[in-house]
Amino acid sequence: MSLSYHIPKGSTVVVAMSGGVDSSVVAALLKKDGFNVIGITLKTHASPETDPRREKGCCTLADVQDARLVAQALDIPYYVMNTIGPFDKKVIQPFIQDYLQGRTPNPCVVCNTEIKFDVLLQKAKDLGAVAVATGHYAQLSYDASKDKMRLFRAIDEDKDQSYVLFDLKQSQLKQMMLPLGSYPKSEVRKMAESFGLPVAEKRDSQEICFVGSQSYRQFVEKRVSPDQLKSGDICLTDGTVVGKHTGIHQFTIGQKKGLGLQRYPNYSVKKIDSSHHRVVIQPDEVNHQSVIKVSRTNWVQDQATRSFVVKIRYKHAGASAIVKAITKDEVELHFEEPQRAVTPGQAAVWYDGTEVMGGGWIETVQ
Amino acid sequence: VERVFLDYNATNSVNSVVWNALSQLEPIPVNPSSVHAFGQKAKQAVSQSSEKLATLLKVHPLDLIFVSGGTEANHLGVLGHLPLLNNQKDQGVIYFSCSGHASLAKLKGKCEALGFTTAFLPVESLKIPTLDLMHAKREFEKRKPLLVAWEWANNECGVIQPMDAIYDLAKQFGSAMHVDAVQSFGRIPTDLSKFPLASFAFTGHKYGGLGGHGLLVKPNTVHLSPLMVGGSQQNNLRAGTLSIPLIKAQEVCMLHYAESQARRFEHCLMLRTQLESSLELLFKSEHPGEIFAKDVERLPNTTFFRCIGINAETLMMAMDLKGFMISTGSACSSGSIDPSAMLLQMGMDGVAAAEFVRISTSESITSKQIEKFIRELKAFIKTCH
Repeated sequence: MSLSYHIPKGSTVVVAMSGGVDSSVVAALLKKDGFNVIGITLKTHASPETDPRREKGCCTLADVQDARLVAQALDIPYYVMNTIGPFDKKVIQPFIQDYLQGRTPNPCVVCNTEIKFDVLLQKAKDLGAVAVATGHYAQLSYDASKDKMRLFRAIDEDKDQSYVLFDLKQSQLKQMMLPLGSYPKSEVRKMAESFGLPVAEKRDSQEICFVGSQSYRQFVEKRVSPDQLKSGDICLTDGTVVGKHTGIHQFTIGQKKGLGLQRYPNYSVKKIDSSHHRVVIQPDEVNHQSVIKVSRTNWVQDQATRSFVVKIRYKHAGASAIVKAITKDEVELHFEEPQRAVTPGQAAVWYDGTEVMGGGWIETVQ
Repeated sequence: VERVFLDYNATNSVNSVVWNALSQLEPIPVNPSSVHAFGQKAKQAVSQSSEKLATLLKVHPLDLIFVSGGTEANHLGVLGHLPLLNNQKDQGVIYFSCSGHASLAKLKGKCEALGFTTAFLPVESLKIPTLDLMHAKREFEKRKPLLVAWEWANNECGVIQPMDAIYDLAKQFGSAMHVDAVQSFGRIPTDLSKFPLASFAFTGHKYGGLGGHGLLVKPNTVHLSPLMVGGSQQNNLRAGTLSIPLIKAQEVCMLHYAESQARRFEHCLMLRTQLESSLELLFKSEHPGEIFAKDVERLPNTTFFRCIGINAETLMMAMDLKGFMISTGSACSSGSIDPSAMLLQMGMDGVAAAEFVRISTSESITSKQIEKFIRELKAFIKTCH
């Protein structure tokens, strides 16, 4: 079986290798299909863990060893690239700031836009490569009539990662390859076996790479000075104070657990007010919104005010909404059905069928 | 692609004279600590190796301590002083070179953790990165040196330190002295009889040895305390069964490497001149760049340079893809690269420090290979414009 690519065969491409099954199969597939493959693992953060056997997550020392083994098995050049500086500036610091401001960030989107398909893409071009390929589950195709790339969901619905790619610009999409989007995960594992890759049995990683097995809360607390973590009130929508908290970074919209309020068992977080360090709760069954403001939008296809299926978090099933342009990079989402736990800091991504049309960042909830 | 190794300051291949010598070792169980016939044979083998190495380095055979490599030799040569300096903690400072290898520079922190006051001494300037002797003298007058730890030649930029002057200064102030001679040995003449009060660290793998063996030379005027205790081997200074094959390898590689020093010097200097004049031409006509400490006395085989605006990591990868193995900065455990710690310690800014790459040659590199390297480097630089 061979895929069709918008990048000509024989070209030099960099595969972002995490040491996992997916990116290893990408390297093997592209090599088999006649590309000149260079493997690169991004070192995104300094892990405090010195024993690679105890590390969890992705891009750890153990994963680097796995990626290196795969590269050797495939006989491709392989390097580890130090991106600790830009990753901290573009991904980790904004992640911490978001939590401190009562938002719930999605660092994977930012890593794709700012690191994998920017810093790494630049390195790839410096090395004479024309594209960066990754193991993301999403599909790309080139529309020659418009000279535009189109981005689609993966065939494997459970694995689809098109959501985290919404913020990529056309210039980036043109220099990307996502060979796994047209395979189910089970098929990818089989390919890993048939290629004889030493990582065929490896489990999928789910954690955010730089957070690892600790909680977000612990991570944020370790990285900021204690005076940035201000205690405050937990109150009802009418302002009645019903409890105290030790920092708004511990909360996310829609959260029910860990509020510590036995008298309000079915309440969830409605709003996090960072200027007053206040967490507002309300009965969970009314914690729904119909209109959401979205800023810093990125239209993968031409901007249009009409109905799309919109996902408001990674695992959201998607719901119909009118995407109404407000300014050049702001839209309002008007949902047919009110949505539970709309969370500032998360991305809203709108689809036409299986195609990603655009997306943006959820700002405020009205 | 033809692979060309231009990273001889990192390591060398095992020399065939070492394999030959090892293949001639008698296949009998040998432990020099045993008093029976085989033990005595072993002891004799150690003595013979010691004699030869001592003659080579112009020291006494009992001055030699066989260790696992340069890192251990630096540890014993520095940390070995501390128990005996313990009662002088408040009376002086342990001074370190700011351009030393990590196995020396990081001992500064170890000494501090043990309650000693330590300091880096600055170099004259980034153009002349050797110890600022006037500054050192003033510093020693203010705060007495207990121990001075220096490298003879730097591993990254190849700069040779004014060893005679540093030694005299340390001696004048009654300080102990330890010298990391790992990179200078076999590349410039190494006569230790001039420095009867200092200890010296050597490795083996850079001279064609196996790796895992090295040497500390410590005259009887220097008093050290062992880092490892156990058996009474090596005058109670380094417990652990002596390895006859590793000692043989140490002897043979050092003797052979020293014997060819003059030829190596001449050949490498010829390559360096060729490389650096081509680089300077390139920097003048095609792309700005600089050779670090160009006009300072350096190892004949080492060139440390940067192409301005081109990250060292990128250049290293690009040249590796073309078959040329060069090196840069310090690799961490994952293999990713950090900017040169030495340049940062000397006060260079982070961006420039992240652009320097190192070429280090040997007698097996040819002028043609250097020519091809320059050609490929130019071709790569063109693609960056």
